[in-house]
Amino acid sequence: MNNEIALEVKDLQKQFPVGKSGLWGSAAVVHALNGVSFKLRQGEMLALVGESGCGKSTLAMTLMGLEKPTSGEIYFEGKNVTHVKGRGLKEMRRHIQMVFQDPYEALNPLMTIEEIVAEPLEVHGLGRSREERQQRVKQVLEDSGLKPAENYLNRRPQELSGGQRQRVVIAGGMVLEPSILLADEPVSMLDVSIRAEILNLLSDLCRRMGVAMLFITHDLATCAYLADRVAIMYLGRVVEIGPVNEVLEHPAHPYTRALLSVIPVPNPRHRRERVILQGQPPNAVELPSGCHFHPRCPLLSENSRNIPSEHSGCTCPEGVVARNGCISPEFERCKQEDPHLVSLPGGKEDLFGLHQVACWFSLPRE
Amino acid sequence: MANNASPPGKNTRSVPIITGSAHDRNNGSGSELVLQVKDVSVDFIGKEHAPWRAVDQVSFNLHAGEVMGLVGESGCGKTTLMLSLMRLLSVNGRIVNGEINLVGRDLLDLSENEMADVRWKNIAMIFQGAMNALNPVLTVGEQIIEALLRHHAVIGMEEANRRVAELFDLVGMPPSRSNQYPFQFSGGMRQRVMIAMALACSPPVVIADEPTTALDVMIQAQILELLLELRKRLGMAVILVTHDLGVIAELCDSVLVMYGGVAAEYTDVDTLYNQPAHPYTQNLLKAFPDLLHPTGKLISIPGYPPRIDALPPGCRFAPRCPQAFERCHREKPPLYQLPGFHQASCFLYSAHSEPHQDGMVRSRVSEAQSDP
Repeated sequence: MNNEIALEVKDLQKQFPVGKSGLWGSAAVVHALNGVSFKLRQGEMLALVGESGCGKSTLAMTLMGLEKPTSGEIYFEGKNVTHVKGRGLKEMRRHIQMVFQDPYEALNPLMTIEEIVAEPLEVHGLGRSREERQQRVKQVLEDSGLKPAENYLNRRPQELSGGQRQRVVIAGGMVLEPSILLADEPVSMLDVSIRAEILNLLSDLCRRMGVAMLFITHDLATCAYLADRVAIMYLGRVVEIGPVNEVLEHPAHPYTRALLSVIPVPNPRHRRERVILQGQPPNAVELPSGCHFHPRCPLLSENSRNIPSEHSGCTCPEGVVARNGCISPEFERCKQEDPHLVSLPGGKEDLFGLHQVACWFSLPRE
Repeated sequence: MANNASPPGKNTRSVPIITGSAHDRNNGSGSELVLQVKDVSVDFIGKEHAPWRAVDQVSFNLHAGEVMGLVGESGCGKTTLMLSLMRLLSVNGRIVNGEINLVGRDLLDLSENEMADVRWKNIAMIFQGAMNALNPVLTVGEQIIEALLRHHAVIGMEEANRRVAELFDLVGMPPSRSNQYPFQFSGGMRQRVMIAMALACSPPVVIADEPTTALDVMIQAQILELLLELRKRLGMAVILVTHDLGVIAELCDSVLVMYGGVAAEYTDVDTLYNQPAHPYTQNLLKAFPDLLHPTGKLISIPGYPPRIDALPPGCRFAPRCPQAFERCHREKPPLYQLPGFHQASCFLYSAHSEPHQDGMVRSRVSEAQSDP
């Protein structure tokens, strides 16, 4: 891994208009992305985690150029590619490839495996002859664990099992030797006993070929095995980002803590106390004021109950005041002011060792 | 929407209520046996092929208030077995032998009309994929009332409406939403409607077939917490069908692991996770990500689950089993009784345990499913 930035996203916003109230009324807007920023280093594996509706998939679509961002910038290897079109977009897509969630729907049932995997080569005019392309297809199929490749070239998707299909999808993504792979929930449709081998394959391929991967998932447990860094998204924004061990062992955002607490642990001797956030994620049409998480925040509801009504002094834990100013007694700050990602003290100086969190209440590590 | 009734006492989790051997449990103290499934086998017939055995001689017992996990990969027969309990198999499905004793009656002896009385009243099911299981042109309230009236659980619309409001309250939804249509609900809310519907006639046994698949972890936690809370309040027994070993560990008392249509292992939840006997269970546990110990790589099980039209002649797991020996490929292993409440169908245990005896096997080819 080197320290070159493969992809940088700056304050990306995407809004979708929905419905209209009356003839002259203005259209309501879904705020799918509300200022997403992160950097992806070459060859690293960054996991993006969040509930459905948090904007994970919109982000992937925007990065692929399938949706235009409302504002913000995307830099690919230092070049601003936010508004590229036509040939530039095609060239960019050669370097950013995607692995889709559902291998049962992502493959054209009328095409053979060879045609499916060779299609990107033809689209981009790579390989001088059919033989050369076939050679490349065989190579990438074998790299993806479909050995010997000859047995698969002339088969069609419906003859393959779910795991084999996902290997074909991965081969189709890797055949162009991209520098970034976006994997949108690549194993959620597969059986547990098959998942591990697909995850291991993705991770081995990316490490061997130096491909950076953005791994989109709602499963924090899987990231722990795979990713270098993890970014937690809530309502179209990154609320916590850092090295995967750091975030999982010392989660700083109350949302991350709640997410971690509800992940079932496969051992009945380790049943834990769960922090269950009630309700759905708030809808992205009317964003809450201040911190977007405050209406569901367990810190806020627990602590505000503990504060005696006549109390007017500061009850913030030490350290919070020093860094963020006073938040108690009424948590006014959480309700009014939007927290930005700030680095937690004690993290490494290196950009990629940084552990950042967007919460007024974020505590320094114990 | 954010004010769903928060289940009280969510931190008190009951410890497994089942200890001791299967026999102790049957004669046992305390909770009574509500459902007894004995050697149930299910075939799917077709014109072009010999019958496909989807479920092969599966037995288990369910006590009042017990949560049993049924775990296995897709195609292992979990849903087929559950649909057999409800006698809702598709037309080419046949229950070829076995017994399903529910509160003292063998469901396989009942006529179709008698079965319709039992369904929903004595055994109800929360189906996978709530959107497809609900009728899109009826309000959710009407659909619940339909079940209530069918079973004469209420007299008159006034009482029916009152009961619907009660049920909505129970699953943490505002009763005012009962006159909305399924499409007006989110996935998690629809699942709550399904649960309310399953509870309408207060059945002693509820089957939950992958109730949280396709839901987010947070919504999943809400639904599972709700199921546990209801189990505690209403004392019903729950069969939780899932492929998620984490969910089983969090919620269940006992676990039945199925593989390729047979019971691979049947034990209490603690034994399953800490002393798994069957190589399939052992490997499945290694393949499952564990947040608390994310060390090393996930280990996958090589190969693929068997297809129903090409089942291996011996042990169904033998082709993928790292410990398989010659006998495994030749002969089907019986269910061996291990110390305590623990059974595993694996020849590794043939030396020091007895095959499990599970009563008389009756052939039912002629009578099963013969009614219209």
